[in-house]
Amino acid sequence: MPRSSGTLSQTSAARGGPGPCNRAGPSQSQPARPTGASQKPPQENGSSSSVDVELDHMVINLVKTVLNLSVNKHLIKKADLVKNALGGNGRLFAKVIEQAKEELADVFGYKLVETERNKSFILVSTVTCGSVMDMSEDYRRKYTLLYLVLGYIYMKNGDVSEQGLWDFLAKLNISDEGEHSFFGDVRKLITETFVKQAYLVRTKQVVEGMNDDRFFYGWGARAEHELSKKDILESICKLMGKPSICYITQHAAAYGLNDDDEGDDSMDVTQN
Amino acid sequence: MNSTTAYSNVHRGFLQACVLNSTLTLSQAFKIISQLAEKYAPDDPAPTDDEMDTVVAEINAQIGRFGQRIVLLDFDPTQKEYYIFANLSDTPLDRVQEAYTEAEVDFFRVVLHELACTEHHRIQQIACLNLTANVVASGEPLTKGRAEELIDDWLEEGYLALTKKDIGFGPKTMVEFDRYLLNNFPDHIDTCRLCKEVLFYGVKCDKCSEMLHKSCMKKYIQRLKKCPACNKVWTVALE
Repeated sequence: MPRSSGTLSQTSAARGGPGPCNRAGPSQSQPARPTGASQKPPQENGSSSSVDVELDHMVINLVKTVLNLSVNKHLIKKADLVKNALGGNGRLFAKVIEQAKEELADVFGYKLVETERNKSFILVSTVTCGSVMDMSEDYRRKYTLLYLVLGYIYMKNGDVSEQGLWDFLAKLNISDEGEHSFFGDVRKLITETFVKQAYLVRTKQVVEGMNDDRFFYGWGARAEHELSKKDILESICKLMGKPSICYITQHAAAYGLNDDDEGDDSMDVTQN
Repeated sequence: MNSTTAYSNVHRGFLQACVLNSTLTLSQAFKIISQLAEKYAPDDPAPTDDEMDTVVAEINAQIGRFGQRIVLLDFDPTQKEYYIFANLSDTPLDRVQEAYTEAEVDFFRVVLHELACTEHHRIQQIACLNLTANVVASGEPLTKGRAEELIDDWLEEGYLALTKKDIGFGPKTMVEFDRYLLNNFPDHIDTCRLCKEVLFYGVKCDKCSEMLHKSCMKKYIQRLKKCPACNKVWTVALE
C-alpha cells in the first residue's frame, strides 16, 4: 500500500465543543483577552465609526460561524452563514465575506473556496501541518482509501463509473459490501462521506439503453485544493510498479507539461 | 527561529494544528513547530522551547477577538503540560455547529454534571456509559455504542481524561468550563486557596483535609513546610 508523504491538509474548526445549557455568561472573569488588531481609533465622525464596529462585529461572527461549520468538512451553505452570522441580512454578505476571507487567510491560513456559485463553500488549508504519519489512525485509514479512489479516477482521466470503481477495488480485495477490516464501511465512505466532504463528486447519468441510472465519480473541489496530482500519481505508480512516465497523459497533467496527445492513454491501469 | 518576525505560516500552521488536535503535549507541539519552521523559515535557526511561548503569544494576539486562546496548562494527573486550543466565548452563535446532535451535546452536559457531583470527580467508564439514560434532548436517543465513541473522542480532544481507568475532567474542560462548574456546583467544586483557581485535581493535607493544587503546594513548600490551611507540618509526598 503506497504511503504518500503528500500535502494533506485537514481543516477542523474551532471545536467550541458541546456546550452544556447553563454555561456562565460573559461576566466570568477570564484572563484579559487582547483587543483585536482591527480596533479603529475613535473617529471625528461618530456615525461612521459605529458602522465600522458593526461591520467588524459581523466579520467576527462570520469567521466564527465558518469555523464552526467546517468541522465535518461538509459543504458550508451560504444560507446558514447569512442566518447565523448576519441575522438573516443577506445584502451585507458580499461585503462581510470579503473581509472574513481575509481574516481566515491572514490569521488561520485557511482559504474559503466557493464550490457552487453563491451557494456553498468549503474551507481548505494553505499551510501544510505535517505528514500523513501525524494523523490519527482513523484519519490515516480513511485517507488511504481516498487516495486509492482518487488515484484510480485520475488514471482514468477524471471520470469513472461506479461499477468500474468497485471492480478496481475488488482487485485489491476491497469489497463494497459489509465492513472492511481496515477501512470500515467502504460503501458508505465512498458514496456518502467523501461526497459530503467534497473530496468526490458523484453524478447520475442516464445511460441510453439501460433501465437504471448509472453513477459516475470525479474529483471534488476539496480534492482539487488539498491534494497534489503529483503525489496521487506517484502513489498509484508505486502500487502499479511502474514509473509515472509510462502514463503519459497523467504525467503531463501532473507535471504541468503541454499534453497534445489526448488519445494517448493506452496504458490502461486496469490491465495490470 | 527569529520569533520577533512578522506573523507567518509557522504561526498559521501551528494554530491549525492546535485547532485540529484541541490538546497537544509539549513534545507534540515542539515537533510541529520545528517541522513548520523547517519548511517556512528555513533560513532562521531552529526554534527553542522558550520561543514556542512567544509564537503562542503572537497567535493569541490575533485570535483573541474571536474569543479563542491557546492556553498552556499544567495537568496534575499526568504531570505534563499541554497546549489547549480553547473557545472561551459562549453565545448562541458559538453553539452553532453540526458536528453533534442535540442528544450528544446533552450527554456531554450529563457527564460533566455527574463528574462534578461525584466525590473526587471520577467515575467508572461503565457508569459513564449508563448516563445515556439521563439524556433529555429530543430526536434520536443515544446508543451505548455511540456514547462509547463520543467518550473516546472527548478523551482524545482533552475534554475528559483517564486516571487509573476512571473517567475524570480533562485539561480542555478545565480551561473552558471552570467558571461554569464553579457557578453551577458551588457545593461540589472548590478553589485552591493558594491560586484561587478551580480545583479539579489536587493533593490533600493529611491533617485537615484541605485540597490544594500539587504545583501550587510544590512552590509554597519551598518557602514554608506547613499546610497553608491548618499550619501543621506538611508531610504528604509531592513528587
